[in-house]
Parts: sequence; structure tokens; C-alpha cells
Amino acid sequence: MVDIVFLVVLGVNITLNQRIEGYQMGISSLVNSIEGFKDTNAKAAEVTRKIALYKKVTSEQQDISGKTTFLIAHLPNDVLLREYVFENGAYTLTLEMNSPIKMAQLIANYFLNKNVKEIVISAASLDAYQSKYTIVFRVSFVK
Amino acid sequence: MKLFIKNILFYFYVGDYSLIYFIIFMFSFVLFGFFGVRSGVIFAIEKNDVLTQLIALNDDLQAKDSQMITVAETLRTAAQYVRRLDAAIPDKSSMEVFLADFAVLAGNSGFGIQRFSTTQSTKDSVIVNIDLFGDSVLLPQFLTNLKQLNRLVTITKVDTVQKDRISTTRLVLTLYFKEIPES
Repeated sequence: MVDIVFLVVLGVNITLNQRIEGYQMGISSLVNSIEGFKDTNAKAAEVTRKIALYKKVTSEQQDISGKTTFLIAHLPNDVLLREYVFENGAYTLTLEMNSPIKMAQLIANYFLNKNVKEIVISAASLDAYQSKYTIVFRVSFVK
Repeated sequence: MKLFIKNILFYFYVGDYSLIYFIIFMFSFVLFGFFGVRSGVIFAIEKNDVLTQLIALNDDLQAKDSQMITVAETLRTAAQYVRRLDAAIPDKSSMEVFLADFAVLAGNSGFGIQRFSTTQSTKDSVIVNIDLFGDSVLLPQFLTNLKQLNRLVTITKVDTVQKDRISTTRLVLTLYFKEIPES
């Protein structure tokens, strides 16, 4: 009886040993397989980081070309664009014209666009000799 | 004790081995029953614990392995997009490649390059100052065309000045490249 119990216990031990050995080999094989994916893992991490940077940068970008097109396209023909500056999210235009009424019309035209948040005239001067008005103003958009 | 040994020798002498068998039986009973079975059960319990841990580890590694296979497969499927992403955010600043692409784009948009300079700003971006000449009327289209560049570019500043029928434009762009991991 004791021998049978001993044999059973021995059999259980041998079975457990075999299963442990099997799992050890399986684990060793899996570890090798995962180590083989080392480059893939690094590439995936790099791609993830680049996508995050791409998303961050593009989400903060403004549609500068669209706004520039809008601002320049609305300029009357006889108004001369002396300087155009985009910086820190604001657009500054220096215009030369022979009548200040054109400026008023231009501002009215700009405000037809609901995205135009603010127009600030920072300087206006008159060249009496040439009868030319020079106006500097800054346009801010909602976003 | 002497009697015991004497009895054993006697049994041997007369050819009756039953006592010997009994003694061997008792010895094996104690040996296997107490030492063998007990320690065998203890070992079996310990081995079972180890096996349980190994099964958990194996399952975990199998999940990781299949996860890595999926990642590798996804990267392989998205290879063309990854190449475009690598071009948009290269490993190095690759200014020569950008300058070549930019010069072609500017030329096609009616602008020429007067001056080109770079300033390192952060660990993953570089500031580029470009002076251009060309008709300011073409500026909106040129800014639109900048989107055609393979690089991820942010327009930081645009300054166009018209003087004596000559228009000069200063562009300040931010280019991005792969972030250098902190050591």
C-alpha cells in the first residue's frame, strides 16, 4: 500500500518535472522570439513618438496660406501692399492708397468673414506731396 | 540485541527468511512511507507551485509574443505611411534634402532663394531663415505649395516687403526631426 502511494507520488513528481521542463523550453523559445522583435519594438515606439509629435504640431498650426489668400485677395486693385507680416498668430499689413475710404471699405469687407476677430490700426500717415495714405493695421483671426 | 541477532542467524540457518522479509518490509515501510512519500508530496506541492508560476509566465509571454507579431504585421502593412512619416520627421535635420526640395518648390512657385540659414532651437526642431525674391502676389499660392513638402514644417514668420517694384520675402520655418532620447 505504502509502495503504491510512493509510486503514485513518484509518478506525480515525474509528470510535474516533465511539465516544468516543457514549460521552461516553451518560455525559453518565447523569450528568444520576443527578443527577435527588439527592433520592431523600437520602431513601434519611434513611430508612436513621431505620430504624437506630428499630431501636436499640426493641431497647433494655423491655415496661414488660406488666411493670406483671403487678406490679399480682398485688397482693391489700386491699393498697394507695401508690407505683409505674419508673426505670433497675427497678420500685419502695410498698405498704400490714395483715399482713406478704401481702407474703411477694406475693413468692412474683412469683417464679412466671421473668423476675423479684430482689426487694429496701428499707424496711419499721409504723404501730402504725393497724396498717398499709408496705413498699418493688424488682423487677428478667431483661430 | 545479542538474542535478536542470534535469532536472525538461526532463521537463516534453518532457511526461514520470514523475519528477514518482515524486517525488510518494516525498513522499506519506514523508508518509503515516512521519508519517501512525505518528501515526495512536499516536492510535488512545491513543483506544482513552480508549474503554476511557469504557466502564468508562459501565458504572459505568449500574449506579448502575439502582441509583437501584431505590431510587426501592422508596421509591415503601414510601411508606406511609416516611410512618409520618416520623411516628414527624419532621424536627422537633413537640411540638404530640405533645401533641395524647397529650392525646387520655390522655383516652381515663382520665387528665388537669396539667403538660407539655420538656427538650432530645441532638441527635436530647427529654425530655418530663408530670404526669397519674387512677386508678392504669388505669396498665397507659394504658402499653399509649402504643404507639398515632404517635411513637417511650421511657418513661424512671413515678412514680405515691396520696395521699388522689388518684393523680398523672409520666411522663418520650423522643421522637426526625431527627438534624441535623453541619456
